[in-house]
Amino acid sequence: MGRKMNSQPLGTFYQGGKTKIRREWRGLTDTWYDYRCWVKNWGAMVKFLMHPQSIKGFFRYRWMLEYAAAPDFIDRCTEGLRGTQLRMAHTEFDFIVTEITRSLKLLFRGDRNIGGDPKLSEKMIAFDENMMEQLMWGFPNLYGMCVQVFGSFALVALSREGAVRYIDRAEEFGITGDVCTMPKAELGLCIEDDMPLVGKCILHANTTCDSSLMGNGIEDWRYQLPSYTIACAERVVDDLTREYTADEIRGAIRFIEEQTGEKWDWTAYFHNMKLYNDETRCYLEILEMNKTEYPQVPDNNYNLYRDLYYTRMLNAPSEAYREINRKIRDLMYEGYEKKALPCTEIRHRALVWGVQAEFYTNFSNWLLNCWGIVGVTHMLNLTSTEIYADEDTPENREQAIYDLADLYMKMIMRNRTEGGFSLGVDDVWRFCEEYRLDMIIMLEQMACKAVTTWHGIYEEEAAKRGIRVIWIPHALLDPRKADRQSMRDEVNRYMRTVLGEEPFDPSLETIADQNAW
Amino acid sequence: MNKLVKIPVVAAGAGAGLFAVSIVVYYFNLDMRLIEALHPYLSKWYDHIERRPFNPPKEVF
Repeated sequence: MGRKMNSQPLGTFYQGGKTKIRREWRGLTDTWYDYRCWVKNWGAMVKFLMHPQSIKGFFRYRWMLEYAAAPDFIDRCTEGLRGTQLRMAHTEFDFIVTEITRSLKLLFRGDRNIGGDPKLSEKMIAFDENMMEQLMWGFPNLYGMCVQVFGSFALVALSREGAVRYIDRAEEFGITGDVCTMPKAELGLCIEDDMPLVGKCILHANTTCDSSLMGNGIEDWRYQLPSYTIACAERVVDDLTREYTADEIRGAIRFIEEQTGEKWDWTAYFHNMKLYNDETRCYLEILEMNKTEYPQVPDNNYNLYRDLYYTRMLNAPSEAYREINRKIRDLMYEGYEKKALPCTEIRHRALVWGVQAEFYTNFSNWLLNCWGIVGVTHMLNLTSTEIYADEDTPENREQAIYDLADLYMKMIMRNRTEGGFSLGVDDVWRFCEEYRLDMIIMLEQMACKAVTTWHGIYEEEAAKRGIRVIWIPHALLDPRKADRQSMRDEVNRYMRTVLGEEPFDPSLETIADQNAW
Repeated sequence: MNKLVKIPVVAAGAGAGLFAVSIVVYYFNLDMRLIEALHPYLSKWYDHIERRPFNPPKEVF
């Protein structure tokens, strides 16, 4: 029992409570490995709490309580995995736990709400949600702090209900119910006064989401800090807009220099860009591997990690990402040599398209374990794969501004949802052909007007090409409007009634996790 | 028993005991079950934290 995938009925571990009744037995080797990672993660969390400012932060911010569920989050992300797949998952998710504890400790050290160091706070630049932080490469003495990550984005990966209170606060304030819950939750954090106060100034992204446009000005009032909006264009296929965005980047750099007194450092910038290019090359290798019969790094095992290293939203040092990428690459080739599969049998190769609802829902893992659907790649991963200038020359210094502009225009999520028809629709079929995919898992975020308006076009084009599309409505950070079981039911119904298939693990079709984290 | 022998033996025994307890906690998910039990009580703590009121001027929005 336990050594092979699908050797246990994983659904029976859920009995209606917040957590599972026990952890998996994965065979001696894999269980011992998982146990050691569990000890290490608890060690990281205890180490975080050893610092007085961390304890103050823990008892000041309501959302910090949900971080106690981090081991449960790791269990969900590694559910059903064995061998190299398990090791890859732990390599990435344990790194995320370590980096989040490090970033939180730094954040609380500078947090003026809890008596943090004002001098440290003045070395911080508060960043807006999902915004690229590569600008900070040129300011090695400053810290980019995407404050909303901790109280909103990362929080909801851990806990289903983490953002519900803040969503309600924003709606009570007057934000409508039909807009994206991500920026709504961030605004709710501000209204509730549950946002750490750090930073000399703020950099906003011009998110085109309705609630972000509504919320930015209000958040500025709460922060009472000078702010600058990088109003970059997101129609990335248009070269004219690149010039405009480059001007915005120059403006942002000038703004930071004026506010902080620091000067842009080209040596530091090109050093970090060199490492970033290495990460991109590793990612391109992963994509090539995933085109084969033995994809080794599917969506469930890479998506969140890619989000973090692509945007740099945890301000971890570039060398740390290089080490993780090296381990993932080694495990990937080891798995490929053994012809290991990410699940018992790959029945369907899928493109996971749409904004993420799958972190707290553990959706991509569930697709593997229950139905053998491998998310070969994900919309949020398919951002920039350009190799940018990384040698310090006079020509490259000018090129670097355009490279930064390119990165900002290809911001995670929005380059596909807001970047125009060719990026949001045409590219879907190109990826299906390139990665030999027969299915699209369409994560339809109810409040995302961009993607929902293309619903009919996706259906028509998929039918022409014989590609199966399973629609999964969800409400992103609000589990009340579409919970985990309703998302799973969409797949269950399709797989049974349309394809006539049986699940690998019938206990996973309906899971008693309605109260789970 | 000689102290030089006793101390490491006791330490090894304590270590083995701790290891056994940790395996039980890990396998039966007792760490998360404890957090689950404490969660409602800890949540109430945050209801009593003093917060700044939110009254932005009308021209903000």
